[in-house]
Amino acid sequence: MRGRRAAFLAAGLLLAAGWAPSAFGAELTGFVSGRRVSPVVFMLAALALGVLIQGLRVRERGLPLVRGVTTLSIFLLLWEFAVWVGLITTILLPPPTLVLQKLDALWLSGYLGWHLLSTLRRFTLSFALAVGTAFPLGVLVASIPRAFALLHPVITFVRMIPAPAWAPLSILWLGLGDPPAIFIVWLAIFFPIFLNTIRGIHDALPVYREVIRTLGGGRWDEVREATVPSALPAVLTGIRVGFGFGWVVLATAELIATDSGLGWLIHVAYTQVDSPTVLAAMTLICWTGVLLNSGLRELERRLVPW
Amino acid sequence: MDPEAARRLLFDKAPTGGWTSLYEYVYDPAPVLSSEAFLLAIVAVVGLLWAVRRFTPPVLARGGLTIGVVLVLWEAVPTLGILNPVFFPPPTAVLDKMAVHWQRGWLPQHILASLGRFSIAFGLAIAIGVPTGFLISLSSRLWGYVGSILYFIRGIPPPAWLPIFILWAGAGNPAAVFVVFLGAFFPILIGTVDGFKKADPVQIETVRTFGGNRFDVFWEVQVPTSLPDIVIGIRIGLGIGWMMLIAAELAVARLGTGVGWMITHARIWYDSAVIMGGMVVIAIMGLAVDLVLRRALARWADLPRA
Repeated sequence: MRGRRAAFLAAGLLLAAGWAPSAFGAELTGFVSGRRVSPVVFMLAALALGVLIQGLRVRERGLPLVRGVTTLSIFLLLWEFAVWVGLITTILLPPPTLVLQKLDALWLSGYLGWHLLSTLRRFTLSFALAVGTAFPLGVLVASIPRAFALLHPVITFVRMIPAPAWAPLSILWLGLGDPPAIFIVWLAIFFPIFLNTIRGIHDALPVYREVIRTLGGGRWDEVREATVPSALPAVLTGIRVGFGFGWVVLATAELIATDSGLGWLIHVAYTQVDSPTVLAAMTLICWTGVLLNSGLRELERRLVPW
Repeated sequence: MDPEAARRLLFDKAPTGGWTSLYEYVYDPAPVLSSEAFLLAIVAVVGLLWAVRRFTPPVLARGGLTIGVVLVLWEAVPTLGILNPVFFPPPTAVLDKMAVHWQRGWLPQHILASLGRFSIAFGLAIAIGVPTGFLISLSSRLWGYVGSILYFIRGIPPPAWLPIFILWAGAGNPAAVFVVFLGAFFPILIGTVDGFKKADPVQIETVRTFGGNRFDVFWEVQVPTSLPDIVIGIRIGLGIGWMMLIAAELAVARLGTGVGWMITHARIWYDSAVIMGGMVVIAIMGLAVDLVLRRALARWADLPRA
């Protein structure tokens, strides 16, 4: 645990070195003021981080975090170095320092934050819609006998159409902008939750329902006390799968259909051959996705301890 | 073009339906099936399936009934004028357009292009994903070092890679193949790693006791036990890869081929019949690819039939 804390401390120090204006003189404050960080300083910092982490490894062997950070710093180092000596053209693959500078400048101007909020708004809206429709519909279909058996062929067929394939039709129906994006993200999240709800309810042991019956509960008690809780783990699996699909489909939808959001930013920066912004937006999408995903995991652990 | 045809194109067709009719003129779709014949055929097929339901698996009669009802509703709603046929064309119109596309050789070309892209990317994903999974599992040290980079690459939705990859490799097949590869690679990798963990220590010890070396343990115990999970990973990768194929074909307008490109091109012409036909073709292709893969993989693992 000590090694882990030390690694976090080292990473924090490095970040602070970049962000705190007075700490290391003018050169390192570059990316706060919008100027570029010197490649030399960046490479030295990455190298220092790597060495530091490797030094810690001697005490805490086999720490995955230490190794991971080591590779990352070597990777960044090589990347920066390759651009610096001219192995790669900056337009094709801008160096990390340039990407950092873009991230910083776009973030400070509020541009990146606005698009991030736009993406998040779209995602939460479709996610809430999908959970709010898929779960009740799943419970409904599962509790009507033979309903699922009748619907199954149609569902199988519709599910074989990937959500992005609905994009042209939904753009035609709803126009460009938010509605088609929300529609196809909703569709991508809907099916995993819907099908998992049905499966969870079908797989639930009938004993619990019979216990409720024996104790004098009605049909509603049965659904609320036995069916839903026993299906909940499967539902949450569906939510996690749908969450991943939805995030990917949202990126697609924003590339094609919308006029804001991180996907749109990537697309527009690409049309202007502004590859630092493309990479900055990709980085932000990556971080956001990872953060949301770990948040969801935490939520799942709290909600379904059984 | 002779003057008479030019006059017809300009003055006879255009005023009645605008752009769409110009498109019709270029297409010249001949009606394949009238509405009445279509409805009759559906009633006949569903009735036949229902009549012989004792001798066939129950899926056929039930599925026929549900799909028949859906098709009849789909035909009736635009034909009766409840929805505008320009945006919601009946299946007979879809059939007409698809017949033209098939006769002129466009549809086969698009299907082959999509399948070619998909099989190259998916083959690469299996060929690289499974060995990488094995390597990572064999050495926890390697996993510690490579994991962080893979984690960040995985965090970026594959479609978001499109613009930067188009900058690197041009707006052609490589970009689409790369996106499909990224989509399919990670589930296969994770499946391999998961399966590897399930190797029974007792079996490993047994092989060791009988004088087996590390390779024997790998080949006789660890590979066979991880096969079912690899197969699961491959099937998940198939779903995501298929979705990524359509997304890439939608987003890379310069591809010029592929079923996804066909539907997004049809959107520009407001040709919803071709969009719907393309979606049906995509669904059928997805079912076929899934079926073929399931047959091929059935040797390696017990797969659910539905």
